[in-house]
Amino acid sequence: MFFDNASTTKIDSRIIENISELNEVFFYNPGGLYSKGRKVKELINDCRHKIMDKLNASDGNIVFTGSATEANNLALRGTIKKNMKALVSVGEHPSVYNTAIELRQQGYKVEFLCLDSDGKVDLEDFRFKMTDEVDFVSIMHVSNETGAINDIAELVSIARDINPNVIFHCDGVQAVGKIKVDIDELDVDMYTMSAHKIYGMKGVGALYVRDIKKLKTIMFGGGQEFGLRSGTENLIGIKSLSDAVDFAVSELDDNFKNACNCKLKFLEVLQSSDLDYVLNSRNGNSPYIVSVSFPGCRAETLLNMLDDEEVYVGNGSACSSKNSGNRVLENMGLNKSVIEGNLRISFSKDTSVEDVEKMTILLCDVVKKYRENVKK
Amino acid sequence: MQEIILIRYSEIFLKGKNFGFFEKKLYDNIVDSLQGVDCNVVRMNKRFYVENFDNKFRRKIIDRLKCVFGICSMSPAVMLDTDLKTINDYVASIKLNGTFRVTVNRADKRFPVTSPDYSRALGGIVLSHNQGLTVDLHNPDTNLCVDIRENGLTFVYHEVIAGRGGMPVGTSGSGLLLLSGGIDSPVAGYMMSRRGMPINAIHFHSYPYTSEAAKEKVIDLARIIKKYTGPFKLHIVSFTKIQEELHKKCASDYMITLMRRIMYRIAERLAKNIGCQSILTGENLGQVASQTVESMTVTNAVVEDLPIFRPLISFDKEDITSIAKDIGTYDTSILPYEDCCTVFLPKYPVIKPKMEKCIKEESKLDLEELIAGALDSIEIIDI
Repeated sequence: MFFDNASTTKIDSRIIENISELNEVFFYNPGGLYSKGRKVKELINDCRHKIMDKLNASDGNIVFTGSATEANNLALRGTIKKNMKALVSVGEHPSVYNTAIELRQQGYKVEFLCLDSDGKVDLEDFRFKMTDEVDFVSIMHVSNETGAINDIAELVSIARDINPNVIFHCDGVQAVGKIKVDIDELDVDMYTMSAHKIYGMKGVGALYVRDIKKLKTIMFGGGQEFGLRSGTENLIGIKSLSDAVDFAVSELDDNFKNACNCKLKFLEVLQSSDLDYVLNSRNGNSPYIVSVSFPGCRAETLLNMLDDEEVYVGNGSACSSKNSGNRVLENMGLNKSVIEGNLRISFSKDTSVEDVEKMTILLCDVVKKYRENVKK
Repeated sequence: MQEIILIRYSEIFLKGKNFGFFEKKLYDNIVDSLQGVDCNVVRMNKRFYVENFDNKFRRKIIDRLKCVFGICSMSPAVMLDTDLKTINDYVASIKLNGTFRVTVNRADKRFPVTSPDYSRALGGIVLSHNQGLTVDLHNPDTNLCVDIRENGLTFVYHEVIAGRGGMPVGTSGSGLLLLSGGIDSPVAGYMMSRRGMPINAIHFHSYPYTSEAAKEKVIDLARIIKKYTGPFKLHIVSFTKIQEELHKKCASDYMITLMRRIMYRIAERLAKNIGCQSILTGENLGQVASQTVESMTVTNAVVEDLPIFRPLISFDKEDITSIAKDIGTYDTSILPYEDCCTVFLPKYPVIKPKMEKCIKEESKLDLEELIAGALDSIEIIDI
């Protein structure tokens, strides 16, 4: 039973069918001047427009990349200049956070935003740090750790009131296809997405960019994707992303309802056990991700015990005495015992409430057994 | 004229009547190390050389030889017939830059020119064929060596590459290495192999408290040290039940001490079963609570028949780390996967354990059953 869907999802069979057909016929290089090459290019552009349409982005463009990590790197390293000041949330995915750290070490002006105890960007801290000297902001839409949802529209509005020219990047990897994403409403300048988080292929991501001219490339070569991401375009990957966005957005409400039911069932079974646990995900969070901690337990051990039962969940913390700690949970103010015992349960559109019930019962058994074994 | 790689050996020179045994073992180890590379290894008086190889494999051969214990140094060289004109013509063809000197070693006393005279003569030849070159007898950029041997062959070389020294693996008794995922134990295995000791290894694994990744890390470490030790078997022992029992029934501050006493018992039994003559550990005095004199006294006490070697006992951590980096184990050792010694770690482990207390705590356990269970659980991996 797979409950680590925040890390990756199984490809939708409809997408496999679509890309198989495509690959048989349209294997040509879209850079070719011949008709078949131009046709592939046309198909790629169709995918671009489809995504823009589904996410309600009325201007700007989509730059296809090899992954969301690549897209995030492009957003930060392609925008931030030495004379700019950047604000980045401390709760970001490593592809944003580590890039920001690297830029800071290279002498760029990067400051980090704190999280509140719910795992969202601390609004007071944001208001304090957002000045007219800040040129770039990066805040994720939905936390991959806890499912916390940042009110991006409000944050953008606050930012633009202070500096109308601020460039606002949002990592939407855990949001697209899971909660409502309206690029026009959000008013962001850049927005990252990933195919394999929404039942598409691995190895393809995208960056929505409002103004291509404000971005410079970090990868040099043949100049594909508006000069921003050189390398032969991956039509079937791109098609998988476009279809993934299409299906996920079209089916959003039903899938959302299912995820809510799964989360409710999980909490119901957990509450009915007499286990000591801490829920790190709040009510208003994305229902697809639940962060729960079992104080006194080592998450890695729980993971291994669940693995033996063929149940696969995510590990919210780096469980090693040499590398203990979880940046996001630490910044939410959680203590060491809670962090060390943290698991991340994440659902897909295909997760059934029955499976959630089975999984939760097994999880409770495993936690009980662990606590029995380590009891003095 | 032939390109070769000259190999000089070190300490085995000192061996007396059994010199032949050591030399043969070194020869065999050199041949084994060059498996898969098309070449020959030739033995001549007091040294070896590698011949008949494609020059593009020269670097590969040297890299392999650098991992063979018993080799003092090696030199890519040209082998010539000992003949004045042949040597002179070859030396004339050598292109050099900067400063140089010529060093002649005339082991063959039939050679008509003395070493100092021939050095000067060859120096003159080099100068006349290389513009801008100057002589520096004290600290030259290139020391061109001409080694005239007794067997009618002369070797000309200028590069001397250090080998790892030590004694050929297989010339000493064997050892069972307690291999954890840390920095020290792989270095301990390397150090003992360097004295000619063939090793096997034992690792204690506590799944699910330790991960499969922790086990994979130890296997990776074993594969790295195999370059130096030669192939061996890694015995992975399930230690989970033992740790759980110790944790439940025994004093928590004695947890580590008791764990190590049981590990040593298991190691000794395994060593005897597989014919290992000693136990090796990476213990280092004062590094952690289990590595005080008192701790090592109580853990030593359970080993009845075999010597325990601790080659790192007096090293500084910095020195151990430096060796680990040199032999290539450091980057793997520091990967953050815990081995069983840190699971169930007590807050305040005892640093001066008492024997009586150890015996008293152990009386709460069915030691024989636990040890038998652990020995039954052994997974053997060929490294």
